Amino acid sequence: MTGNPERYKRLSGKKKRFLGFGYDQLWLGSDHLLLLDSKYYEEDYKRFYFKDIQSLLVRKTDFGKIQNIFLGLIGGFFILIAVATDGGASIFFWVMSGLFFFVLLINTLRGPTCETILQTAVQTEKLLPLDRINNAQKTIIFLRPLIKKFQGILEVEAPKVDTSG
Amino acid sequence: MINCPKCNASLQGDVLDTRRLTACPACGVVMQATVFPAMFREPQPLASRETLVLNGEASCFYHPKKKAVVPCAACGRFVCALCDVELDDQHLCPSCLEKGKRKRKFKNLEDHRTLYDSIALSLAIVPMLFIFPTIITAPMVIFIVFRYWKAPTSILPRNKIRFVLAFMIAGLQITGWTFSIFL
Repeated sequence: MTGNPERYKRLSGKKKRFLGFGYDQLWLGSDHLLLLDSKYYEEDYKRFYFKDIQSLLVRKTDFGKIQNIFLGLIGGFFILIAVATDGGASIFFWVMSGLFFFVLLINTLRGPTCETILQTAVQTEKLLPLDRINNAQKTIIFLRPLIKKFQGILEVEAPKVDTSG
Repeated sequence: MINCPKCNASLQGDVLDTRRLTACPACGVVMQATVFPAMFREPQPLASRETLVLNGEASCFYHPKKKAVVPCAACGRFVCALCDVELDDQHLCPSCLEKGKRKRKFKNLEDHRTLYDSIALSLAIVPMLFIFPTIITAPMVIFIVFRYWKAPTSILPRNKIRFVLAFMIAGLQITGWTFSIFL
């Protein structure tokens, strides 16, 4: 009754939750995607079989810009305090502002943020680990031939959908 | 049917299945929609209800008035089209499916695992911050390590290093307490 154990390959990095307790991650199985919801002491899994995936949507969000604004404001605030103080305190606040601007630089280099949505006939699921457009597009390019292998080749032109009414 | 994730407008053909970011025609949100053939697949019709033919034909074990279509691969009971569950190229009855899920015989049905190795390692490390609780938690860690050593952990690739580290740390804690109490 038991099948061969599934071998999974990591498809994305860990998307940590707010306050850092737990993370989400995407893994690739032989015929499905596995969305891991880890709370460090336990794990929950959701499987999306390639034959059932109807669409993958990537929507650009402004979250990255908001993060950059926040980091820039905090970094600027620390610069103001560093200028206003002297001695060891000034050095401390210069270092703090440098840290925040470094994180801002990393955030910018990682590219714009997005929301990736997987749709099947019965569910719509957000793939939280794919939160950067660069990664999401690369992952979709990787998955496209796999999904098509299980579903057949898509027509060159998809049928138009009537938006009236 | 694909709708814009922001404004819920139905997306037209020229926005679908593009390999670049485009704007939703309704709200302008930048997006990329990749569509697969399953989107346009017609739903399969439900299995028709088969009545029992009164000339010795087999009936479903769970629905005596329905005709059996396949035997369960696990228990051999005959089941009708509604009771038949196809999994891993096998036909199973609902009872065997439920039993198999409970006994973890179907890897693809497992949706939850408890990570005893992470629990053991955390129980070994965190109480060290407060020192004294380790006199209680160290034996607990040893128990967890031995009790759950062979228990299934994550379905993802994972080794026993956490158990080993937890055992070593708890062992050192017990050794330390033994020396401090008796010496």
